[in-house]
Amino acid sequence: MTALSSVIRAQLLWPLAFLFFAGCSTIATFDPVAYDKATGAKAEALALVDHATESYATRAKDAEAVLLTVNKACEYDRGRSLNNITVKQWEILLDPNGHLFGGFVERWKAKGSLRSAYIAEKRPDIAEAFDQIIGLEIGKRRTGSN
Amino acid sequence: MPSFDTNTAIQTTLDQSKELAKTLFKQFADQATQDTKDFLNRSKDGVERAGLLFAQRKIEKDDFEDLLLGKKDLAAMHALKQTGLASAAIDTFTNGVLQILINAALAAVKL
Repeated sequence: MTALSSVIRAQLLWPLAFLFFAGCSTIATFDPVAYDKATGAKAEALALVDHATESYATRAKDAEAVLLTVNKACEYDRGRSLNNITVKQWEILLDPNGHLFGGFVERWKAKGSLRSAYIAEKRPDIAEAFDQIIGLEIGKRRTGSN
Repeated sequence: MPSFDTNTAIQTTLDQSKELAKTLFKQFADQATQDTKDFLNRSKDGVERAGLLFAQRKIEKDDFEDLLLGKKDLAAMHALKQTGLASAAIDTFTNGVLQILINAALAAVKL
């Protein structure tokens, strides 16, 4: 057994050590909590979008609550290691000066209410923005625990 | 006398890793290509609809501009998703190679 141990140590340990370090992950693995938070935030955001023909003032509390939900999902992802790509996606989606969910809410606030034709075109884009985040999460490598 | 056939272990690892790379990266490339095609088609259709709505005065100019700029933001998110999926594919490959090496090494040990 001693001879075998020496053989393994000499011929196997260094290649395995090399592969261990080479095999370190470059991106976070799949997280079911992050997935649930993103899908839940999407559902709440789209439900809010449907009310944007109404006065923002009457829906301000709802809008703030949904923005909080979406921000919580973003912050959860920000707390995960090797997850900066997903965080960048959330930042684009939430940017109040941008043109997806964050920008939509700002626009609603600024204009008071939005045209139904505009909302009908914007809704699928906001849905797709969430889907880009959800799609990346689904595509992350599964580990034994998930 | 126990021994360890290094050459066999390495050759097996290389052969199986090559097969894994062929399967994994081809699958990734096919999915990425299809996903991007679908995304571009949806974007093109959306831009056409927005243009029509603006022409029909159903939306204002700033609404139209916002819809176009939204497509640009979406394209950035799409690119980030593909970058992330490529990283995940690389991680799957390196972990697969590690597993192949362990299996090949165990098979190469002669007691």
